[in-house]
Amino acid sequence: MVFSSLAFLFMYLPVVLIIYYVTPKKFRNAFLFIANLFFYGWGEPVFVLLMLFSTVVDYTHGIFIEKYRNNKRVAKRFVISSVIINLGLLGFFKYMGFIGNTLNVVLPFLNIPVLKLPLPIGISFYTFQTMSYSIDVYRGDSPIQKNIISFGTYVSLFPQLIAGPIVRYKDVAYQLNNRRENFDDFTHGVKLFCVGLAKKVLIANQMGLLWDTLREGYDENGALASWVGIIAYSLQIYFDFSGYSDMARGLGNMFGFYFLKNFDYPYISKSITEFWRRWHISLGTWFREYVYIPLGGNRKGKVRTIINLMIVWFLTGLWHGASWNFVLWGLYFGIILILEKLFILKLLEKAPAFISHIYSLLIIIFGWGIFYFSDDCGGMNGFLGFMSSLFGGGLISESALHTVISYLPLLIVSIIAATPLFFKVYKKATNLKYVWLLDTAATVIVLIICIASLCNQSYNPFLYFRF
Amino acid sequence: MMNNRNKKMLKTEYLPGFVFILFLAAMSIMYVLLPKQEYSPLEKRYLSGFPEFSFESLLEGEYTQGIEDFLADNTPLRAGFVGINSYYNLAIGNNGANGVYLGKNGMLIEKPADENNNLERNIGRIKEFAENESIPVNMFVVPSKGFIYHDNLPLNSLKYKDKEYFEYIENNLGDNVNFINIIDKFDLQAKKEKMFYNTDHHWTSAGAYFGYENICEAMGLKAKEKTDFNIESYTDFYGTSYSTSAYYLTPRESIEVWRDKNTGGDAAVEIIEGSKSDKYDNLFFDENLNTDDKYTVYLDGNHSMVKIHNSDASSNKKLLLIKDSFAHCLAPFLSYNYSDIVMIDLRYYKLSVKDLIKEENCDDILFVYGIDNICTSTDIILN
Repeated sequence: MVFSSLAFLFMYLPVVLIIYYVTPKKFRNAFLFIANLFFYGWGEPVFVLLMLFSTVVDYTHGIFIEKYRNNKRVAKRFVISSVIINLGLLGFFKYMGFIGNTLNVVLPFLNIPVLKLPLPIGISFYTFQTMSYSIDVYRGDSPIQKNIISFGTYVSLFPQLIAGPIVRYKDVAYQLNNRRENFDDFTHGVKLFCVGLAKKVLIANQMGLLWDTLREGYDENGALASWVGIIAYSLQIYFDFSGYSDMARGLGNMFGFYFLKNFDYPYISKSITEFWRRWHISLGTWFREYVYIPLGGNRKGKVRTIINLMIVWFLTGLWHGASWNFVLWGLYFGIILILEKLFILKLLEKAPAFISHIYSLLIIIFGWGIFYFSDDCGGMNGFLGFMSSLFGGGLISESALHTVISYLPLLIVSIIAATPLFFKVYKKATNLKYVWLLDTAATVIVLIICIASLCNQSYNPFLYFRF
Repeated sequence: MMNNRNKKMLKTEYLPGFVFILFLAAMSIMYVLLPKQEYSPLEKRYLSGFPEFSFESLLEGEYTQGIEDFLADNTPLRAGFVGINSYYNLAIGNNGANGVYLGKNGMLIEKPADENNNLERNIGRIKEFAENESIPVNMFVVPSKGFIYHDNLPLNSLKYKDKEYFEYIENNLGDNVNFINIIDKFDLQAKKEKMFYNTDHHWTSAGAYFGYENICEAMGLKAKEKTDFNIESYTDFYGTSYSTSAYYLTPRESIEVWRDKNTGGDAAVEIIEGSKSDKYDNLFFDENLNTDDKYTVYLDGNHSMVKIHNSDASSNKKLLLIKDSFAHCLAPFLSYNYSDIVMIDLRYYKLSVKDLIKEENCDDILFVYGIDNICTSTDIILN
């Protein structure tokens, strides 16, 4: 189930909220656990078993790690076993086909049969969460969870199940059994959810349409159209992902949880280093804590630092999808980050701010060009080549211009919304006496327009209906 | 005002939260309580019902998908929401988001056909067909509403290339097809008369009569006088542009039926769908004027094959009319020149056209298409 669906908004959410709040406190985790599984099973009922398996395995590993706390060697084996099982699951479901295909290209005589498995939703997120649990328990960074229901509630927590943020166990350990739901958080959660919904439905989906229109036949649309197209895609991916994170955090608040911020206006960054501190923060944190620092981070000399960074960025790329373009995308950022560390950052410090912004945005946007074209290197080269040819295929065709003008007001609003400007204005407005009236009106308006937009997707007037 | 009365429990700041819950709950309750529609007259399609449960369908994910389809098709106040979406898009500058512009004077105008289209292929096929056919082949194409009424288009709109298309057709149909090109005349006539409906992409009866006069002239026939018809007008009509665009604030309009003063439109009409055949005795299906789909008053709308026999016609000739829906209000006029018309719609008629010509022993062949269809159709197969 996705948040921006009628089934979630009008069936799942109201029912779950009402039952949750009439349930006595001590049974709320148990109810939430069931509700989570229902949420997860909606799309692929079979994979509920996988989630239960994951829950039991990591719960048991936690118990054993705790038990052998004084025997480091044994405890370590359990951590390793937990990591292997989690990565095994991820590898099996997400990367089998990819590995098979790649091997067949490199070693064609092997002729490996390639399995095409459906990807269990959210597996990249929850395997990372459960790994963080075992590791944190082992490191003594986090208390152990003895209640399997509470643990299951954490693993399957529906707000962040599908698209993150990746919540480390230690960040919610206390809340799992001691959270206090209240009106303040609930209201805040509702507002955050509505902001996220609007980001997803009103901006990301529309920018997606614009990108689709401009991308098709890009060589006829002209270079400027391709640039607008890739900007639209950059906006789509940001508003889609950050909208989802906002909805997740908002829903968390409604049930008394606090999740850390996942996006912090990444497009206002003045360097790529800064961008990655603002983009998908929970993923960056995860890789830093569980890969980069254990590898030695930057404490083992320049060469090792560079190697470590490349490993981390290879993996970050690969995590985004089982396709070589994602790896390329990760390495692309790895190399830029290394270059920034070596000298670019120093140059940027001296440069005027707008140069730093343009530098960062160009690299980010070009990166999305690599990111988009999975399994289609020809398409990627074609598109990126065309973009950089500048006026090669004419500036913009008549029909592309019509499309761009149709979306121009929204494009401008989206670009402004990617900066903290609206938020700053809102902050100022919170001092006003009747801000609650504004909030309420905004909530209703956002809901109505979003539902209207969702309804329109199913509205298919049939001209010739008899056949 | 709620503030200050019970500061601890209910502060005005909490209102968004309450309203949110109330909103979702109200929608859920309406889902349950409101009567479900089986058929959507606006969309002219049957809506999804609640899926039947089985373990297989649950495991396959079909059951939950079925529920989502049901929810999507049965959203409370759905038409209202769809309308809101259209006007919201209009407000943010995206006129025509659903494929129809809201033009000046409230005219709804379909966007033009995609520039990369099948015109070349379709014209090639008709040309080839005519080269191998001994019976005279004529072709008539109705220009698009957006081209004719370009003054009504919104500021930012796509270009209607009718002029280029007509020129292409003229130059490429070959000598064996008599192309009745009226694009310039039609444009002039549109300044005097309402040639297209406001809420539909089709031409009006006045438009079709103008087309009829020109077809007669080009094919050497004598057109029936305008004064021979009683012009009846029926209110409360809305067409497909209205439903597609969801610009629901557009006023409804009148639909005209031009009925022969003498015969009242009496003719033997046979509608054939595969092996099924139904017979009627009038060119106009008056009962359809009471439904939501009033345009089907002309020959009952889209059918695979319709045969018209008019004993009142001025000749005993037989016409094969290969057409799309633009021919529906034109064919009644032609039935006064041909005692028999065999009308086929290639979107649904999948049998051999050549065999049909032999069987029916036709005297003339006429293609009638709207420019959009001749550009986009994938069904023009004339074996």
